[in-house]
Amino acid sequence: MTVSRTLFLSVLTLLAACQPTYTFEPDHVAQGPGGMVGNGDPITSGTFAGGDDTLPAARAVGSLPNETRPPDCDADCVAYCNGAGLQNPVNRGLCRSLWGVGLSNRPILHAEACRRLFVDMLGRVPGADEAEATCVDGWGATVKRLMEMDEFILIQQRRAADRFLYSNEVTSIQAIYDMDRLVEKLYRGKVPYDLFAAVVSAHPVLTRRYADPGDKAEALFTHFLGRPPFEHERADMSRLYKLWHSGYYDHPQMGLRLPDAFIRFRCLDDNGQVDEVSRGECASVLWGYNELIFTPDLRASRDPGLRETTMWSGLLKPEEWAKLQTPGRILSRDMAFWERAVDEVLVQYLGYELSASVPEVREELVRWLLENDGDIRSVHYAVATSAAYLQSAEGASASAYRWTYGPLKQVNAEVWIDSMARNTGFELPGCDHRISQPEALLDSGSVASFSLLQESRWQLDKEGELDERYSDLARTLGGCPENVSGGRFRVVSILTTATQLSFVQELCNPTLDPRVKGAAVEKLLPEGVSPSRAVDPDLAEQIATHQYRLLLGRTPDATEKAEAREAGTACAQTLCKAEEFARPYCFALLGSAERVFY
Amino acid sequence: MSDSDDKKSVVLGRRRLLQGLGAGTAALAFPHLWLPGEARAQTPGHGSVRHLIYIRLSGGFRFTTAFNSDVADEFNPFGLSDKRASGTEWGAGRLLERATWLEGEANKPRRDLGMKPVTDFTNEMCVLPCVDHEPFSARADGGHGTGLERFLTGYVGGATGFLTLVNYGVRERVKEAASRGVTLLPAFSMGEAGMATGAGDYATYRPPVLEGSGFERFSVDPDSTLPAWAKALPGKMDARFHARLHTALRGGVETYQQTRKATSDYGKIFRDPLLRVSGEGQASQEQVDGISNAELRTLLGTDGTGQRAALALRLFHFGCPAVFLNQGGYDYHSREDMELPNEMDAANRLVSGLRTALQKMQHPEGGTYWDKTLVVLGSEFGRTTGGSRYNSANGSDHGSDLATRWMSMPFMGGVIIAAGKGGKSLGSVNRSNLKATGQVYSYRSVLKTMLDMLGADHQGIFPADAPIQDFFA
Repeated sequence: MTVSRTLFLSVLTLLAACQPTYTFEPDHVAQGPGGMVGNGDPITSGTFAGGDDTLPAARAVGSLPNETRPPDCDADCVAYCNGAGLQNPVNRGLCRSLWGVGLSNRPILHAEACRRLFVDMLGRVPGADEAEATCVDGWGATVKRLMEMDEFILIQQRRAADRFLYSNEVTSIQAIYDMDRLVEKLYRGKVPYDLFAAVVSAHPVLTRRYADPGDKAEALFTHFLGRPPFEHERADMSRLYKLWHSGYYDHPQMGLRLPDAFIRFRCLDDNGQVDEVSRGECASVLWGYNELIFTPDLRASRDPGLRETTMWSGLLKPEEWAKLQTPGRILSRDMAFWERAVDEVLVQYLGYELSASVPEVREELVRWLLENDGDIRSVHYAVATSAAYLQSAEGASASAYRWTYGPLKQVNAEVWIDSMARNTGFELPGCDHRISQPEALLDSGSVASFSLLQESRWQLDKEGELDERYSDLARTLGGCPENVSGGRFRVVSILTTATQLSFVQELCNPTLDPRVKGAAVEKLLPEGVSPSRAVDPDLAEQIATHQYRLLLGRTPDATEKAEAREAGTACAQTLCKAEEFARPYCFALLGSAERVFY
Repeated sequence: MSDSDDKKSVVLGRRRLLQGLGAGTAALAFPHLWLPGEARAQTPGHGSVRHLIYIRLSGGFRFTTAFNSDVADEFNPFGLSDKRASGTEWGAGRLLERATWLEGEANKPRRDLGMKPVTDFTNEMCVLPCVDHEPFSARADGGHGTGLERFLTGYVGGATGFLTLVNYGVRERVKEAASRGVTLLPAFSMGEAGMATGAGDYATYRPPVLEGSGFERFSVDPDSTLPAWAKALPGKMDARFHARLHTALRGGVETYQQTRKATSDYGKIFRDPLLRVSGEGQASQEQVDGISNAELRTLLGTDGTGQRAALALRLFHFGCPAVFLNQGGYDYHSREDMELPNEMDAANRLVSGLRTALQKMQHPEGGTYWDKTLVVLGSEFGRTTGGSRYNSANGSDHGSDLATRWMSMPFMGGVIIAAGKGGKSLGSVNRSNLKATGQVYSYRSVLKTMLDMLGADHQGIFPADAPIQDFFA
């Protein structure tokens, strides 16, 4: 018998509504080693020094350094920096390549800095009102405030999804939710970075993704040391990954056969005891003697595909997980591990590799991170309040050294879309980084899977089908990745630009096409202005000011106001009304490069 | 069968062995002369097609149920077709017989247009039963992530998607056309970002990734619809932003300004009614290249895959060399017994619809699109059941054995028939254990062959893998 999909989904919707016992909260879905750590208080108070350093003036020098080589910080320079009273580790490290050698950072406008912080930390462009209300009491307090917001956690979770390529086709969705929970703990300060790495090193999100032990070892090195292993390192470390097997677990409630990680029993003799001859094959010796052998017990079962006994990783005990996490603990003993940790944060905020040019920044940050007990938030705080980050990307600097002017980055797809929607009040469905292939859940036919989807950031339409308007747009722009292969991309191309303009057109509806359900005109006009009011230069300036503040997060300058008045004059000659001015103006602003770069 | 830690399963043919020995001897004798020649790096079919449709049967496809089906029950519980076209030497599975889209009065228009069950034209398809990611590896790569990376780029961690290589390979052709004022569309990936990766020299050749089913969102030129007073505003705003920035940071904005300008050139193509292949009741009846959009909808269906396939054929009209699209979802860890036949039904319609459309369509350079288009089906790996007909959930998995290992890939198009390879099997397996008894091809060789047939420059690409000469032997 064939049941129509529409009827089937309707029944599922009904069942999901009637059976609250099947409701899946993330904490119920998440299963794995991430739940076994970070269940106490934060490791630090989350209050860090150096957020509001008084920046020194450039030291008077005979001649400025030549950009063809790194600046040479002589004894006077070192003394100058030591006496500068800088607390921020980035500023301390930067001093010997900036103020100490006679260079200056670029001052920044409040709006530019606040906008940058919002995009990097909360994933959206703020309106000017919100920015002015949030970015107060100094940058240290502002950054702390932003870091304590749930949106900050979500942005870090999405970054982790990009980094570890969450895909429910590749890895159990329970493991993905667990990893997501672990990332939240990391950014709430409950898990130090070395423990995070240890847990990740044996997490099914990593081990189930790579088929070969050597590939698992390579992935670990790449993630946490920023380089692939040398051949001898790969060979040695892969012995600690030989136990992992990629199998399947039939989930009793979700109705899904989940791809999941299993443990093999290697280096044993025929009686199930450790085999003295082969036990070396299950031991890493390059970083001390680390043996990893498990013996089967009641939890083990025979895998028909592998034709040997295995154990589902969901049955592992905390002490067993701890043993399996040896690779991560090995790497965290290496200074390169901590250097990689701080470099990643620097690149995240600056968009370029400052450490490669100014290694003192890396040294200071590593020391800072260790002083703060591995709380990665301390590094985010230090970088986001540093002079390297909070300096303008506009205007000319006296030097071509990259750290003498501010960062400029391209927004990712979600930032671009979410900001548009939020600023204009346009309703859009979403995309959930934990469920990169929602169709799998929808097609499983189980109430539990359907409920899980309902409670995710994906949205279902009235028929119970996925609303893919958001994901279609985001994926064309490089976001909302499926992560089976590849992942997020950021590119400016003809197709992406055309797609962006087309979306902005739909949003602003500059032709006032009655068939287009764009943003409400009330949002695009200053409060109290009727859409039918006749436009004159004054009103044009008011509308433009309102939109600059709402859509670009800043007040227009004199040139921009004059341009708006000129446009208003021209518009008035056609007897245009406020809406007829506001909608094309919205298109001009939202379609501008200023919305693409920050 | 091989296992994760077992020995290699590669069987080198006598011919390949002798070739290798000969080459090795020559290399030892004349090390300074050991330079692979360009002629050797191309096939006689170099440049024999203008277009490629590369279809991925998504999620890992159990090839033994359709394209390598003359095997034991544990590999193909659905059976071998006894209706396959005469002259078919490869193992066409019974699932290829499914054609519900031809049944009944409602589907008469399809029959009238000439659509046939796939088993009616299996003798036009050439199958490579044993395509392997890494023929010298001890085990198959049945990982969704890494298997797909190999499928899309040729390697685990490969940085350049296949379609990027296509665009790179035909760059001279595009440049020459541009010098004549003709804009040729690049290769398009329909919804698969992994096909569009590329850095360094390849970065500028990344193909557009098109989500959804078409260009409907480009129905009007946004900039040209603005009122006169607003037309200059976007340009002025971008110019001011550009001027404000530090000089070293202006590159990205300049690219944005350039692409915005170029958007109106490409926009003319994007807005061409010919690309409006979706939308109930809106498809045009106008015949272009010998077929209407309405007929394409009839042949290829109105679901997302059908619309993307129709769009692919229309993109070819504008010079697009290749389109990649995903079909179905074959990751049937459970209920494969019930669901695979229906999914194959849809795949069969796609293949049959493409064949019918291509044979009907007239190519601007003369002949039909069928003569100038290669259609290839693949998937990231095969599937295994560990010795049973199905796994414990009536599905199949993917691991490290031969059933996972062999990607049995069919090739279709006029060029295959012209080469005398219609219905042929380039390779073979032992039906009881799937061990290769004939030629094994590396997957990168397959990719390189497609580049070669497209006439793309593939010098330096997959240097250890040669395009497959056997298609033209």
